Amino acid sequence: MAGGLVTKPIPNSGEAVPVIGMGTSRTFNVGSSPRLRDVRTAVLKTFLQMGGRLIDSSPMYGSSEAVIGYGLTKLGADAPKPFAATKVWTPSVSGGPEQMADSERLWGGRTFDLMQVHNLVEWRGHLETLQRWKAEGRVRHLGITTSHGWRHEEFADVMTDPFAVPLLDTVQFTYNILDREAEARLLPLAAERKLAVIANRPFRRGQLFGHVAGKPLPGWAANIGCANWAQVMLKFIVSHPAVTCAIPATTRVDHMAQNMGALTGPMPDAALRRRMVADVESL
Amino acid sequence: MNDLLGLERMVLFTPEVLVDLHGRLNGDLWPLHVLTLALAALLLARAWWARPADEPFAGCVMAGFWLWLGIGYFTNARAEVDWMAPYVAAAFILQGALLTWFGVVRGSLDFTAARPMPRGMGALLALFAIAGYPLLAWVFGAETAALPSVGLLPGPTVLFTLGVMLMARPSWVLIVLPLSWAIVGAALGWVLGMWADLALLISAGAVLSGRGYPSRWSPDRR
Repeated sequence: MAGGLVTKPIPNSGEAVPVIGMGTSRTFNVGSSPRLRDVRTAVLKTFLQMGGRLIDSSPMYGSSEAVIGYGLTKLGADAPKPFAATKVWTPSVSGGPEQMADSERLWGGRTFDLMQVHNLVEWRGHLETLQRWKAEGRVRHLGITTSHGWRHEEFADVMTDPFAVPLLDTVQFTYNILDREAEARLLPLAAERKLAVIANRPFRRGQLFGHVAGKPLPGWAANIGCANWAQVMLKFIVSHPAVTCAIPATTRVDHMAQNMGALTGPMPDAALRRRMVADVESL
Repeated sequence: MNDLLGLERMVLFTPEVLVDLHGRLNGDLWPLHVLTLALAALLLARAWWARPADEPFAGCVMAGFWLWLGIGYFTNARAEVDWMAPYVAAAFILQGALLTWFGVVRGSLDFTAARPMPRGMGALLALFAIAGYPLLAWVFGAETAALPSVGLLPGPTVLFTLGVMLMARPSWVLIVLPLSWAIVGAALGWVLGMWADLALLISAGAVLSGRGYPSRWSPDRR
């Protein structure tokens, strides 16, 4: 914990990141709309002010990277420095450097703290490129991603591939209170290989709120400092010993403030985690 | 059902963004709406009352609509939020080219060929595209500034085209792409919660059933 905020280290570098990050898929893809860009800037400001650091994006997310760059520029140099994470997402290995350079420009000329190969697209070729970039200091950590429970077998194969193993710092996949396939293989493997885990789709794109709609918070929620379902769902994820951070995405300042509430207070232990699953599944 | 056709994974924008985009586009294009609505209404009136056997005007208007959507809407506007837009744009431009070739050059839009039932269904569909669809969108909560207009946004244009296709009974070549977009557009509407777009699915059903009717000149008329 740093200043009351819960952080976890990236094992390979020892760098600590707050356990609640920010996803930008859909939510920051607002195009050139000045009104919506300003609304997202307010969301970004709340995230950084409340202690968030890791911002995750991708060239696949339309204008999201440009909107992040717009927001960071507008917030100015006095705003806390984010942990900038994006992805390379092109079937052309030779096109990877150009796409990553474009991302750097869109984010406002930033060196990325983390560059991930999106959905394992041409992962071997892109990791070869990224190996050089890391050696040149153009990126600090490397990772791979998947989502929606896709291709876990292949993902695990990459996590154990002799070429990839020494290069990888992080892995990103879907993990939430109802989507727990990762507990079987990917999370134990990440722990064994000392890889940081970024959990995407923590609310299953908002669908989990439909699952708990109208249901009162269980009594145990107060014991772990949760005032709403968002915090319950986030604390469930980041309390898994192998998970480094979760990346909820939102378009609203009030929802961001709720999410960031999961960055403080006690975390559930293993027994409570089992009860959380049972209680939420029974709703 | 929430991941209809895998679209939930591919649709990386919110309804709010699409509404904002349409609102800004409507503002930029105004008063072009008056022209496109007038052209659509004139086309429909001619198809219903004049019933030309060789109608280049209809092909010309619809080709213009589809080319605008391919180039102006999908390539220039929607592409900023939708990574699939360039691919969709290619399909809309192809449809514009097909309408130009078959509808204008070859004169294959024949408004005398359809039987009364599909002809009436087509006219109703086209009329719905012009007036009913924007009204439905409004009823479902669309902002007035972002209301869809035939010729300028995909939903009503595809509905209008399918209606005209029922009335003109052209080759399937001209129907495949509008029909495909009607299905994809309805699925997108489902994923985004933009319920007025489900009308596209009804229109696709109407076209498939209406197109099943033989031509007025087919042998069973004897």
